[in-house]
Amino acid sequence: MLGLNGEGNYHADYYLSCARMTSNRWQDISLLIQSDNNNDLLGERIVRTAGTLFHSTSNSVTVWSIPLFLTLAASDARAALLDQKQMATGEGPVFDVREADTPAYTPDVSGVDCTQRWPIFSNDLHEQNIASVFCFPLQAGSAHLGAITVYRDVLGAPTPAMYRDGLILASLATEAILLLKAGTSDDMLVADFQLALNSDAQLQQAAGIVSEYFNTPITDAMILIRSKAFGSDYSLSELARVIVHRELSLKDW
Amino acid sequence: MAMSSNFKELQQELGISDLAATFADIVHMSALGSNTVDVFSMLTLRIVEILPVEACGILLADVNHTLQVVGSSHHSAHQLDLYQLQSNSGPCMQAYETGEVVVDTQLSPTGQWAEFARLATELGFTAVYAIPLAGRSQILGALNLFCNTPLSERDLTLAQVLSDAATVALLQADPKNDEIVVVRNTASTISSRNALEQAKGVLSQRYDIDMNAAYRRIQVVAATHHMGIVELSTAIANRTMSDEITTALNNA
Repeated sequence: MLGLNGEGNYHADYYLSCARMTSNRWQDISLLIQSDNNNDLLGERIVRTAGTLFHSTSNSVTVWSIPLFLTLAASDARAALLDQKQMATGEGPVFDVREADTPAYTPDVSGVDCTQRWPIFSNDLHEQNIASVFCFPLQAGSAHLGAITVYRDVLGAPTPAMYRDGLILASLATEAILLLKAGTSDDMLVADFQLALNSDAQLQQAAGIVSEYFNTPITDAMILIRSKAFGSDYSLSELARVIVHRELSLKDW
Repeated sequence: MAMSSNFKELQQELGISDLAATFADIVHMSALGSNTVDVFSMLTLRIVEILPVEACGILLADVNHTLQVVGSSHHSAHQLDLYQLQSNSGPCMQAYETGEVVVDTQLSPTGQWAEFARLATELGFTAVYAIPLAGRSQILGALNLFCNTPLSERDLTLAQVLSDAATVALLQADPKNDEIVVVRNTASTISSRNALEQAKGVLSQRYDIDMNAAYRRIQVVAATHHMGIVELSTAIANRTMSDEITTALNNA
């Protein structure tokens, strides 16, 4: 099949070239995440996809944890080091996107707004020859899971296409991490997430209901719903619907 | 941030029309930095007062060109179903794709959006309108109106003016704002909507009430405590409410 390599995996370049022409970028990027030559762990596949989308070598995916966050995967030592520096200084885009709930980008890390906002971390970026940074939050409504950070060698803001890609990658990564925590594989990202996305508002309401019933944070409720869906005959969106319409008693969970 | 009460009093003193007041409120809320979901919630409630429509919603296209409802006059699960059914096809999707106003006064159960038409009919609506939200360079989504009787030409024109108001609110009063601003504001609005939906779910379970009642409770407590509905929703979903707010929610 066109675009497949010898092992039956999609060539990233093929996807990038044809994806520009298709409107279903969502599917393209989820296939990029899933193109898996060595059964890589999810975090590694996410940072590799970020590298392909943004032509960058130093990328990381972090998740909020105790005490602050941990790096799920870093594409190289530089990205890992810079994540550590953020943690040590308490400064940087990972912290910024948690507050803002929108992506953050710094087109020029030597600019005044960057050095003022991150007085210590901006030096670390400079020392590592980073020119610009993009950061996309992993979140669903009020629930903040983490961030994808792209440390770039070149100056500049994201183009609108890059910005969109970052948002899509972050949404897919969020869903994949929730699925992983629910003890299921992320194989259904392409097949099921499209459906889940369409019922997004209901899925959020269901998360609120389950979170209140089991007295757990929203993120845990999201994980519970996913593990319930995959342990039952319900799709994610069907399950959300029956929870919201009170057709499924939570007592029988 | 909520609308200041002085501004409300000033409007009443001046006796300005509902329509003018709606525009003034949008400008005022935008200037205060209100969340777009707060603005849209206000706007949808005003639309059902100003126009002879039973319900209305504002839908925005996300990065995947899927329509997401981000503001609604009514919050029943069925009303939400009506919006979700259109995420990939339906009057709103057609308005978004074509940039033209879509009118359906037949709601045929065998037509091009059969399932949507069936549910709309079941809920007692006889006419549905979808008006594109048009920025300068792209269509952002659609304003969806549900009626018992067809709208007059005058009302349809008014509806188009109100859909422009929604666009202005989203693009921070600048319809030629660049593409990244459009994408960012849309994504951020959908994210705020998600926090609101989560909070509705929490309250509906806590108080054994439906989604409409949960929304009303959020709205009332936000107004009496001078908070935005998104600000309050986030606190509800994350359980970071003060005791005062918890008590207010219990008693609302």
